[in-house]
Order: sequence, then structure tokens, then C-alpha cells
Amino acid sequence: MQHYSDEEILTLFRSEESRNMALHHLIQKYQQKLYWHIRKIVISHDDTDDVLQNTFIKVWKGLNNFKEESQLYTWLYRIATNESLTFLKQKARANTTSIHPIEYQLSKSLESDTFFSGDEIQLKLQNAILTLPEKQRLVFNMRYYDEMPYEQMSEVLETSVGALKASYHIAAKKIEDFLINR
Amino acid sequence: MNYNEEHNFDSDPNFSFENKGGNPFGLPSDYFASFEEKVKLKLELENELAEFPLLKGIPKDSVFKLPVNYFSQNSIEYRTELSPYPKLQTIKKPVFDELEPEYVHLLNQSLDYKIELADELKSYQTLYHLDKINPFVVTEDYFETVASHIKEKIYSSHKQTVSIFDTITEFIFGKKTAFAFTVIAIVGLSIYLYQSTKPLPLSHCETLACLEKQEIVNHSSFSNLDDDRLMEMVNIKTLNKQLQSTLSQSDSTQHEEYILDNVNTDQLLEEL
Repeated sequence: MQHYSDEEILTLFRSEESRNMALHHLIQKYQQKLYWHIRKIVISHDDTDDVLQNTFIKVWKGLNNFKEESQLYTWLYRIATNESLTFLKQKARANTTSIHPIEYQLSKSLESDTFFSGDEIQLKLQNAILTLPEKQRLVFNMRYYDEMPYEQMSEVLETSVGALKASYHIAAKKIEDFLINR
Repeated sequence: MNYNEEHNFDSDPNFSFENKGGNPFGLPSDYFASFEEKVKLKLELENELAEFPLLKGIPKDSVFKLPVNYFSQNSIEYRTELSPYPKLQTIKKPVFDELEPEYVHLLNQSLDYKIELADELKSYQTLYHLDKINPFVVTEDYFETVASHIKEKIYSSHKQTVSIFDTITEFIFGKKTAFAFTVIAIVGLSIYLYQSTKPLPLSHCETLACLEKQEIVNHSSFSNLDDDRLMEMVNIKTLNKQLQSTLSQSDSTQHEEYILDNVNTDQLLEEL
């Protein structure tokens, strides 16, 4: 399917008559990218579905105030990332019965997830990623899976390129250790 | 098997007719899956060559030339081969346009980036040799239905905000209303405070004794009173009683003189 460019989507959005069309094209263009980005953070499909919907609602409500100082793509990624992290924090707060940290719970849910098709080594890799601190986990997923350039990542996470490179290096090293030693 | 597959190009693995979207060109089924491998191979070749700088410096152009019409001769042979299939002969061979320079540029950029990523990952041998696959899956029709769910949710939330109650609430608690109320409150308070600090008329009060202490202190023109006026306003007898304990003289005249001589305005104020 031929996707509209970001400029075209924004132009459609500015006109009241074509606003619904803009929403349609925005969702069509970004739903998959954002879904997989969110999925790697919140792990469960149902949770991802909720966060994805909330992300698009937030995007739609905030699109009027989008200043075009950054790219639409990075803006969407930033909102999706923030929504996912907020969701995880809320989940951790709501789950007062468990003494384990949220990462452990995510790792456990991964093992029983019917929407996870990875083999043993893939499961081990995901578990290794889940041992990382939040920021390193984000950086690793965005670089390793999404293959996002550091410059773009820097806009999304509002962190310097140097710090991101260092984070990725540390994260990859930790994952290597996990895969070899455990 | 459809018509085209029966009669055309089925020996060519790169020309599949599986794509039914009006475009007769397809891709090998594993094109994208093997793309990364190709890049890695290219990278490996480059690294191999890096050890031989001289060889690397030589452009990899073909120095061999073909006899004129070599390929058109082939084409004739090809047509001969096709003669038993008249229907196939009627299909016009696709003419490929030259690739757009922008596309070539983007492709180069993309390849360079892939190489950079692979290079980066090389330092982590386990990760490098791991298949980079997405282990997460979704239901088959998820992406076909999720858009409508999102739109539904957006429209329903939008409808809620245009209800009368929300409009009124938005008006009452809206930014503009809040700003207007704040301005009114500030102006009102300022007027009230200004009125309350207005000097009280002294015509009804001939002595300081009839004034409340607070009123005297708050009175803005108090400091403007001269000593004589202040002395006139003070009830000497009351003051005398208050000073009795500290002063030994009992004579009221002496007392009065003493006060006039020794007590200054500040002390009087303090006593008051």
C-alpha cells in the first residue's frame, strides 16, 4: 500500500473536511511500526493493544499543537514510548501483591504468552533484554530491532548521541554476558 | 496454477506471478529474508579486500566486451524456443526503465547503514550470530481491525467532549473564564483594600483616647500631626494615671509641666 508522506497527512489534517482521511492515513502508516515498538516494551499483546490505542488518541488530540520542529515519526515514537513506560509504572503500582519487580513479571508472562513464537534462544534473548534498566532496554530495542539511527533515537529519547552509543554498548555487553553465562 | 505460470518464466525464480495486485513483477519469496545475508556477505567481501589495499583500489569494472548483437541473437533463439507457445509470444516483454538517481542514492545509503549496523554488532559475537527475528506475533487480522478500533475510540471520545454538560464545564473551567475571573478578583480586591485604608475623618474625635490603638497606628496622617496638636488630643488625666507608678510628683500642674518638658512625642506614642 502506498503511504502518504507526513507532510501530506498534516496537510489533510489542517482542513476540517479531510481530517478523518488524515486520521486514516496516519493510522495506516504508523500502526505497525508503533505496535512493534510498544510490544517490545510492554511484552503482552493485549497491553500493547491498549497502549497503541491510547497513543493514537493522544497523538490525535495533540496533533493540533504539533510544531513540526521535529519529524512526525519521532514525535509519534516519543509519545508511544512515554505511554508504554507510564503503562508499565501504573501496572507495577497496581500489582501490590507481587514482591517481584515488573521486569520479572514481564519475563514470566513472556513464557506463557501464546503470542510469542520464539524458540529457546529467542526467549533467552528476550529475558536478557528484560534484565536491562529501562533506558538501556529502550536503546537496545530501538537499535537492534528497529535499526534506528542514533540521531533519530536522540530526538525520541531526548538524549545525546554519545550517551546513546554508550548505553547501547553497555546493554549489548550485558546481553552477551547473559547469553553466555546463564 | 494460473495462465501466466503455465506459459511463462517459470524457470526464472526471480519472476513470480504470485503478486495479483496488477503488477506483473514479483519477488523471490525469500528476497527480504535473505537480504541481510547478502549484505553480510558483501561486508565480508569488503573486509577480505581490506587486507589487500592495492587490489581494493582497482575499480571492479568489466574489461570484457561482447560481440555486437550478441544478446539480440539470443533473443532470436529465445523466440524460436517460444514458437510452440503462441500465446506466450503475444505477451509483451516488459521494458525496464532506468532507475531513478534518487532511488539509487537511497539504496546506497540504506546499504551503507546496514553495513554500519552489522559492523557495530560484530563486536558482540553471540548477538551477531543470532538470527534477528521478531519473536512476537499477533492475531491474523489484527492490523486490519485495529485501525477501526482506534478510530471508534477517538470518535467516541470526541463525541463526549461536545456534550452540553462538557461545553458548560469547559466554559466555566476554561482558561479564558479562569483568566477573566482572576482579573475581576484582583481588581475587586485592590478596590476593597484601597477603600479600607482611606484615612478616617478626625473631626468626630477630639482626643486620641477615643481612637482605637489600631486605628491610630493604621492612620496614614498620624505622622503628620505636630506636637501641639498631639498634646491637645491627649487626655492628660488618663495619661497621668498611667504614668503614676513611674513618676513621684503628684501635683498635676507640675506633672503637666514635667510631661511637657520631659516626655517627647515618641514616648507618648509608645504609651498610647
